[in-house]
Amino acid sequence: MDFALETKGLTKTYKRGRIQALKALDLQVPKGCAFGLLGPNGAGKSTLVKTLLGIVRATSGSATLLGVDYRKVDSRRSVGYLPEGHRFPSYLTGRTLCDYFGKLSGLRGDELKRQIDEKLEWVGMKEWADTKVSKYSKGMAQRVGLAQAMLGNPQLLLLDEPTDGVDPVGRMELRQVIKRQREKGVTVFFNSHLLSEVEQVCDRVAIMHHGAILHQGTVKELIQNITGGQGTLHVRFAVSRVDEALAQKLGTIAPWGQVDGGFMMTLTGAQGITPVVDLLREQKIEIFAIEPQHANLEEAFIQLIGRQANKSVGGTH
Amino acid sequence: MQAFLAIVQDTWRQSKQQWVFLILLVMLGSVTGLFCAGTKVYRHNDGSDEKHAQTLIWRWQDKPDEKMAREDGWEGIYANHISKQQGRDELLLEADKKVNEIEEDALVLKQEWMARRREIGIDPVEARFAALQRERAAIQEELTQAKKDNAPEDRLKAIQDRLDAKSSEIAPVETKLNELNLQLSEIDQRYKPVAQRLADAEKAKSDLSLRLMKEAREEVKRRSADISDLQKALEATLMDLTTFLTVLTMLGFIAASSGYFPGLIAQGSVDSVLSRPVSRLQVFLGKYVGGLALISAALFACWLATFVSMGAISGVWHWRFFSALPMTLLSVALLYAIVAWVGLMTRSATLALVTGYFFYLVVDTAVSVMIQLAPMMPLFSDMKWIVTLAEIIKATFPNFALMRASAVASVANVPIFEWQPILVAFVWLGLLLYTSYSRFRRTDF
Repeated sequence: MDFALETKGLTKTYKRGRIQALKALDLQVPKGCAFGLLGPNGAGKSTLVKTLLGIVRATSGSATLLGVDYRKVDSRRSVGYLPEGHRFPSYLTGRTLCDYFGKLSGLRGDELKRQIDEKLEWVGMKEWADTKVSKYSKGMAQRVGLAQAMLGNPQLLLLDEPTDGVDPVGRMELRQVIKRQREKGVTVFFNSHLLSEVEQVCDRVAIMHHGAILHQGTVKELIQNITGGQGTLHVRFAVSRVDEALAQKLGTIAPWGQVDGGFMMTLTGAQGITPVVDLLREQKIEIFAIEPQHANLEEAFIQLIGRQANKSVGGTH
Repeated sequence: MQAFLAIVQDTWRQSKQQWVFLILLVMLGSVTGLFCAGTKVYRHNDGSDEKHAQTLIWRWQDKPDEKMAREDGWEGIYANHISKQQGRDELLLEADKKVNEIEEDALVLKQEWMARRREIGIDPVEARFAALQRERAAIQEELTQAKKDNAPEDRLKAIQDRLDAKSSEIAPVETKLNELNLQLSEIDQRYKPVAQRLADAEKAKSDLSLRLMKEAREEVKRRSADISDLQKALEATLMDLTTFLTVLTMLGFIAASSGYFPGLIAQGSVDSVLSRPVSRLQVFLGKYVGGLALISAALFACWLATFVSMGAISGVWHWRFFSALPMTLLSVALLYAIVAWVGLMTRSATLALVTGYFFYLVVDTAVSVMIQLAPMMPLFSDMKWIVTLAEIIKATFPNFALMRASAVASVANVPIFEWQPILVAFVWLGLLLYTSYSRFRRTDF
């Protein structure tokens, strides 16, 4: 399989090895896919991207970008990057910013002008192209950031929190732009905290925690492997008061709690439904909803990170 | 190359947004314009030969000021250089030392004299004597006035009696004072020849100074016999302009350039640049050369405008004026390298700005004093280690005053150029750029 991005034992340590930001990372991103890198804050997601682009120097290991050694300048020739929390120079306008980065990517003349107009139009910023970056809202700056990343028609797009600060409509528009890129065969590498976003955009994901990859594969595989493919059932019931005896009985079956104007019990799989319904009927408690919940990425992510947290707590004690 | 030019262009965009850079450009243009538009050719019309028939003066002057004539200034600079080159300064220093030694002898005697005065208690006697004399003078005045006013005889007699009494009162005090002064006369006797020696030495020094300057001036006349006054005046004007432009550029460019590197490496800004297919060397050099290219373009415009204007005004096309440009740029490049170094190490534009001014205004002045004035001062010239230290600093530490002097000297049509400051500057420039780039190359952003 051809990989747009591949790392082998990529390691980054700080303070003479005392802090391990990347732990011998092995990661493969196939060409043409939309790949989501997930992880809690401080997992090392941005460090990984920066290391691949030479912004941060790796301590050991190797990596390739589109088959070229990441340490070579040429490896970045067909790569677009939108950094997280970027602060583009305030003296530039959207157009001059694209002009600057386009030239750095090797574009020139009419082709550069054409691409600047095209990319700004794609992200809906053509109207604001001649306004100073300092006057942009966070969402506008993100859009221009995405435009500059797409200059030169890169084959690999590394997007670090691309929808950060963008309103819901804007997020949808940016997703469309990213989707179009995918359709053109561009590999999109997506760092995001918004799991629903990743689920909508990406077909492959990796979950990173404390500098290591915990899991990588398709979204489906991830959900299946972590949650066992089982969804949950939410049983909603209304009662004026839950006495101690009932509370004990409910607790032995599944977790439950008070939610807007009633109570809700969460069951894993369908096996526990009969005893719950029997119990509630016996107590003459009104059941007003039984809602099946499909297993999703967010659930899988939380479960996986939760397990890791438990492991590390267990390991500590 | 294109990426490099993109960074240069970005530096220009950044500069255009800085009022300090625009002010610098306006000031450079104004000074150049003042020199060019304010200068005119003056023809003496006094029968002088062709070489001395014309000079340059300010447009608002009626005729050349003899003491401030531009060709005279040119000859002064050349004469100073020749004096230094031929060791005349050392002769003057020797004479200075001699005066200093005699002054020290005189000081010893003066201290002895003061101690003796205190010992014999002459000061209160002198004060008493002076007070009595003032009182007698007042009575004498009163008597004169009374006579003028035809005062009655008895009043005149009364005043005369008071005058006599005062004279009688003064006599013993005067006698006492004379006795005491006699006790001081031995020291006075010893002081007299020293004072004479001091006067002789000072006169000798003054004569020597005049003679040496005269000799230097004569040598300048001899060496520059084929250079016209107009040429000399033009060169002097261009030297002055070089000085002004260099100082202005240095002061303005510190402020303009202090934000270039901290801005480049600011968190969130450098990532986008480094993610492009450009090497860190290209980014570093692009920013450094970019900043330098801008100020070079501005200075070149000033130089060209001056060359053309002065050529048109005087009819003398002085190509050597352009040789001061690389010298000036070297000074700017070195100062920019210092500012960039601090900016890269600290990521602070403010610290780069403050350090730039501190280096240029305080450190450089201190180094100038140390290497140029200290060896010439009699007090320090006796201390061998100070002279040695000054030589070491001169050979190892960059000095903008010396570099400016070299830049100014390169304009003149005579060999007064000094290479040493230029070589030291090149070594420092190399070291600063190398260490700055090493830091930039190794940093994780």
